[in-house]
Amino acid sequence: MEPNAGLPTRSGEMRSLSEFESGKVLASYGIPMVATTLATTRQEAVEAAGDTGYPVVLKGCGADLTHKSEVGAVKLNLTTSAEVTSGFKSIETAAAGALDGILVQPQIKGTRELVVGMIRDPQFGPCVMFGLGGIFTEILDDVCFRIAPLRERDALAMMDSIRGEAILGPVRGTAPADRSALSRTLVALGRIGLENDQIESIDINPLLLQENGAPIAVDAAIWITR
Amino acid sequence: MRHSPGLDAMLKPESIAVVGASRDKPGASWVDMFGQLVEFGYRGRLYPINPKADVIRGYTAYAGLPDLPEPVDLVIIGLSAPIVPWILRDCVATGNRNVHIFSAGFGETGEAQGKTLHEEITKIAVDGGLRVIGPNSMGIFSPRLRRVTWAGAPEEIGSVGILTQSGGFADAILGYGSRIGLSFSTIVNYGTGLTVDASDLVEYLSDDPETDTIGVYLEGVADGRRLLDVVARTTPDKPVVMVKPGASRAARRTAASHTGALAGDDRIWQGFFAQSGAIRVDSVQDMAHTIDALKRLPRPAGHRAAIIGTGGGSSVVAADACSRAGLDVPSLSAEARAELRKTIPVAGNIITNPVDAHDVMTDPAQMPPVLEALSSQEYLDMVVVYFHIDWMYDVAPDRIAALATFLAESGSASMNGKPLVATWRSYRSGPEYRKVIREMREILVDGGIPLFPDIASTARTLARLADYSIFAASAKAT
Repeated sequence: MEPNAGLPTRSGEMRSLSEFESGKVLASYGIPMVATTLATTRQEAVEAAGDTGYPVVLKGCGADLTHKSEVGAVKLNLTTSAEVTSGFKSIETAAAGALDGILVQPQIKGTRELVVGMIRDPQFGPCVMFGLGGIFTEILDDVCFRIAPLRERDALAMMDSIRGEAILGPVRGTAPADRSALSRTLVALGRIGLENDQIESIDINPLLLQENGAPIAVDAAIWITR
Repeated sequence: MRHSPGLDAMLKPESIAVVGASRDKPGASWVDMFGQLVEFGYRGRLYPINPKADVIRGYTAYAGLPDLPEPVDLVIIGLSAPIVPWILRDCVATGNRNVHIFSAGFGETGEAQGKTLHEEITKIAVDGGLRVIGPNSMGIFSPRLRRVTWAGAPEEIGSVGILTQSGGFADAILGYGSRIGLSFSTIVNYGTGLTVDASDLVEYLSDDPETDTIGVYLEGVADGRRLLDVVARTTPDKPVVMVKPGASRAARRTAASHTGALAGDDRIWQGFFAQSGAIRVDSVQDMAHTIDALKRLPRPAGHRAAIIGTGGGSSVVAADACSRAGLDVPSLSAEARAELRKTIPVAGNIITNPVDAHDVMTDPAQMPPVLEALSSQEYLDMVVVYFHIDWMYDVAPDRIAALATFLAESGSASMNGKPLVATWRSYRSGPEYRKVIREMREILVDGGIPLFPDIASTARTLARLADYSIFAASAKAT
């Protein structure tokens, strides 16, 4: 795997990569990302939706578009080409000027939401985060950190050290989380931090756990400096 | 491994010069660093430096470092901050590479002048290849060399090594540790740690054959990743017990003005402890008791404790304290209860865990079969004997010393290689109680049975011991 895969080399202040760019970097390190197509026209979006299979999600994509849902640039659970077309139009209006294109993704049925990420600590350098995702990240602040590089056992220990560890078990008939896939993701996040000095932080929230326990990232933001 | 041979000279110097040694003042009660070295009986060659004196405490005084007859293993600087850069340049010029700066008033002040001075001395030290502990450092205690630069140090030589950013912590761990029977190989108060930091010192103690257990008080570190590597390499063989304050915003602010350290996000430090295998404690006392437990006790296989004491309510509270700290208090099997019943009479005794057994606590002859019955249970990893001083005193004052003596002399023989510790409670005032408590403590400490000040600290300490024991076993297995 190549360090810096897919990273634009642009200098300047800290800025975020678009979701599409972020996803390419993360996928190149083996992090399970939702299949994503960048569409620049309604026609492309409809074709992509057909290839992906309904229902789909549309998301406005642009480097400055970090609060997509708040501005109305996310349309969930679209089931027909007509819905895709009208969704596309309304995102174009909502995020006019900030768009590189619109992402088409399958609607993933996640049963649980986790958060994973990487931050650069002034004393320890790249550190990996793991915890409860979605709105629980803010409400419960149930996250833990390890210092990169992580060994597999460090990553596995992170899963035992959150208060809400039970979410990884067989909750309400779902399969238990695939801990080894999760640990590969955590180890990879540490590697990304160590191999790419210009990446300041990575935020994958939510990382969804599907019915079968497999994790998949449906949103991601990478912040870079220089 | 980046072992710096220079630290040998600094930690075990054969010669020391003290720049700014105080002139002899008859009748003065305050003793400076040079005076402490003389009074403690430092075994190496000592050179006081003071241009205004010919002789200090019987030693020939010199005007400056260039006048010394030899380069020394360690230069101690006790002059005010603005003069320190001059002395450091002298150190570079005269080939005196190892320096302890006692003086404060540098970067940790947060003021412009201090920061400028800090940058200046850092540049001199780095460019000149100096190894510097301090500024704002009380220095080093090495009882084997009879070297100390502060007051009140004990003479005992031991195998506990302490590294601390805080001088007060050095004095406190020395005081409290000695009180519970610990003795030390080295205590280094490195203060700001200009060019020698916690990682260098942990690495040194990790290789030091005279040190088997390491205690660290640390507010922050420049290169956290290196500290993690060094500590993680050390912990499988030598336990590292650490106080790392800064979980609260107020503590982080205070640390910044104390040692100039960036205390950092405590959640990341929690990661540091999980990854390094270092044992986190919160206070001087907890560090001392944890080290005591690590040094004296066999390694438990798990977290399952039995408690023998008296009093129904206090047994319930004790069980809670254990589970809060992460210990299990398993219920006893029918076989174990039957075994205990052979020794413990029915009246007034409750045979469960904790064992509420008045008779055993006041008749040491009953203790061996009881300890044997508990320690032979596969599902129990350790035993706590919980002295209720006031009640035992009422039964017969001499019972307290009798039980302590039994535990000290032969308690371990009935333990099947599992840890045996003691704790106590007493709520009454009066010299008679203080006297029996003191006796009990002396007997147990001399006999090598760890005595903890209360049930909560007992539980915390045993949980840490079990954590470490499991960590060390798995670190060695992989």
